[in-house]
Amino acid sequence: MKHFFWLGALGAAALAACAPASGPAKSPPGGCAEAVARATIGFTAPDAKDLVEARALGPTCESAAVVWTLRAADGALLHVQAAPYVHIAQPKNAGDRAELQAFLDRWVGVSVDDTGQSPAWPAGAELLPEEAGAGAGSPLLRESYEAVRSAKLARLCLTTAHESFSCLFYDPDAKVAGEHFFGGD
Amino acid sequence: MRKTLMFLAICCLASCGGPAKKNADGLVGCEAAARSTLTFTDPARPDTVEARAFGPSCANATMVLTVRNSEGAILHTTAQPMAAAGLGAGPISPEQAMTILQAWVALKVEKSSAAPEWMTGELRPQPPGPDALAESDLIRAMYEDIRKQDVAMACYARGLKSKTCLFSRQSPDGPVVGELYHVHAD
Repeated sequence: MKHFFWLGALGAAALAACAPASGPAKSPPGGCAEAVARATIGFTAPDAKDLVEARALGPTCESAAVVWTLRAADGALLHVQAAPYVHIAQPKNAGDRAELQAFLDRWVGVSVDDTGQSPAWPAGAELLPEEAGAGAGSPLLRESYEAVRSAKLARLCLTTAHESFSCLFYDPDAKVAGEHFFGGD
Repeated sequence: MRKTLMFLAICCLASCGGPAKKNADGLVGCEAAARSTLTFTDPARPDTVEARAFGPSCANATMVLTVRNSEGAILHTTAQPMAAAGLGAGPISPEQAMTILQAWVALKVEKSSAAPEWMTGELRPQPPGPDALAESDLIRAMYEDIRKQDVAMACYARGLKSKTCLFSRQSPDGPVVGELYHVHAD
């Protein structure tokens, strides 16, 4: 009988250990924590199957954070971006899971072109021209920006906030993604 | 009976929620979370901080930090690669991943007067150290206004030598939270 007691106690302790203070977040039924969308694109190479993923994290759709992740086909993380769902998507019905899913589906639907499509940054200009979008800018110095543009590297643009976007390029030598420029719609 | 109980206990221990577990696709990856509370926007109603990590491995995991008010509304969220947390290149063990997340949710609350001054005519706030650079997305007048109001400021690390500091100040519609400045290695 004692054996049963101690084995029972061991089982109870094991069960208690399965509910730590820190662990994967739980969402109530119908919550948005599990909403996810995925797509594959050829970013690191034209025929690569790089993975774009958008997922929602949060107990409800209204209070969800949405996260956009770009990974190379081998799993290497190239870029991440997060925003509050209600800010970036401006949903009509913030509590509607289908509307959130539709946003995630659109968010992963990026297309790849090349940095030759980015606007030119004329010599002597302090900022990118207006055609790049309202409040446009680049983390690069003009010389680097123009070098990336001339190299016609793989490029994609994603929504980063309501009416704001960022265009990324892939550097095949360093095997990293960098921001070419950002702006507003 | 004993064997059954022992088997159940071992199964349960093996399934405890550590960072290495099967993800939605059935692949073994890195998935973990840490949480804390923060007295930031309202002394009477603590905010919550959650850090999540997910990815095919902890070295290639995405980390997401979300600060919410007591009603669950997002005050701030950001994401970055776990590899940028400052451990350098190479594998990150599940234990290291958990330590990174627990450190991330431990925001340091202070007053905005502790932010570096932004001198007239300068492009950015004063460097907080010899190898560090401070930058702000705010215009100088607004930055200095918030700094001098001595409102609540909460900072979190983005890496060994980088951090982001948020401010919270009251408005007629409730607390407003925004990014005051960032520090990164020069």
